[in-house]
Amino acid sequence: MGDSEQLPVADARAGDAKAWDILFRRYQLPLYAYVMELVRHEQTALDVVQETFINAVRHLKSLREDARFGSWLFSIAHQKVVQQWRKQGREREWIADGLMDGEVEFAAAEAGPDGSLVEQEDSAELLAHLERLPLAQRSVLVLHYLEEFSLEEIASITEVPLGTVKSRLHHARTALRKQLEGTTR
Amino acid sequence: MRKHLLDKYRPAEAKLTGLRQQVLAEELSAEPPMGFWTTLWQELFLGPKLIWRGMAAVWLVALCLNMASSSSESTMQMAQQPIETTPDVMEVVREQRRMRDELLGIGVASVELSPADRPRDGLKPRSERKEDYAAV
Repeated sequence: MGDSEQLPVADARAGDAKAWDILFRRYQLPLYAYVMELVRHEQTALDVVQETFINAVRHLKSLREDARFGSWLFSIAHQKVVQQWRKQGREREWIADGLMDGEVEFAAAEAGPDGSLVEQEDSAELLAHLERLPLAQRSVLVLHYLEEFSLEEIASITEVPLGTVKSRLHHARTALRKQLEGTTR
Repeated sequence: MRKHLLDKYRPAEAKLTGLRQQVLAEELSAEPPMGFWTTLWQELFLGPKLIWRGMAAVWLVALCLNMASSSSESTMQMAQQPIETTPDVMEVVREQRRMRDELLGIGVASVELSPADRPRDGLKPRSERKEDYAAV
């Protein structure tokens, strides 16, 4: 997953409509899923996805590495979501969630006991608990599991430092584990 | 987890497909961006037509004024050209020259004075006659 698959980005740069169709068909559902997890409103999510596609066609020149097309597309979508929040006055919610990042010193990001626990549990149940996570943590978690983006790519998409991404991921997994433990008891 | 996330939102795929096709149809069928020189040409010459018409009107007025002023030059040229003289014109010119000479005293001796205009012999101005009496 991520950006390792071969995508016809070079052909899209040349204006090949088929190439664009392949690219957008590949990412339309994951993009929509990511945006919906953040905005929780169907029409808003569709608008964001549409604006993301339009921006991608118009500004493909700004993409330096073709292999980063996926993370680049998600970064556009993320910026559109933040703009929506600003319009709705929900930006504080995102910032407030992010303030929790500094609470825990997080050295290792790789999947530890928390990560494996999340993978093993019933994903359907996890999705239910996902809604309860704060926005910033939810964003990182969804990007990580949906497209298997690296932490560096997630940091680039969400425009936060790498350490913040690690911290958010840790918090998110810890919170999910606690919720799962709470429900299983 | 990925599979469940995607399955959760799969019902919206039809709308996403329509949206995708609409965007591609609109964005890729749009005219390609113009080059710098083409844009410059359009902005300078094809855009502000009203301004160009106004400038053309100003130039026309300036041209008319220029042509009108050039007609005064032809007058000067006409003045420099020799005119055809007639006997009447020559007589008038001679009379004017005669009057000019009289005023300036040019060639007065050659002019015959009438008896009333000739100076009388022995007559002196009064200031000179007084001096004669004083000498006695």
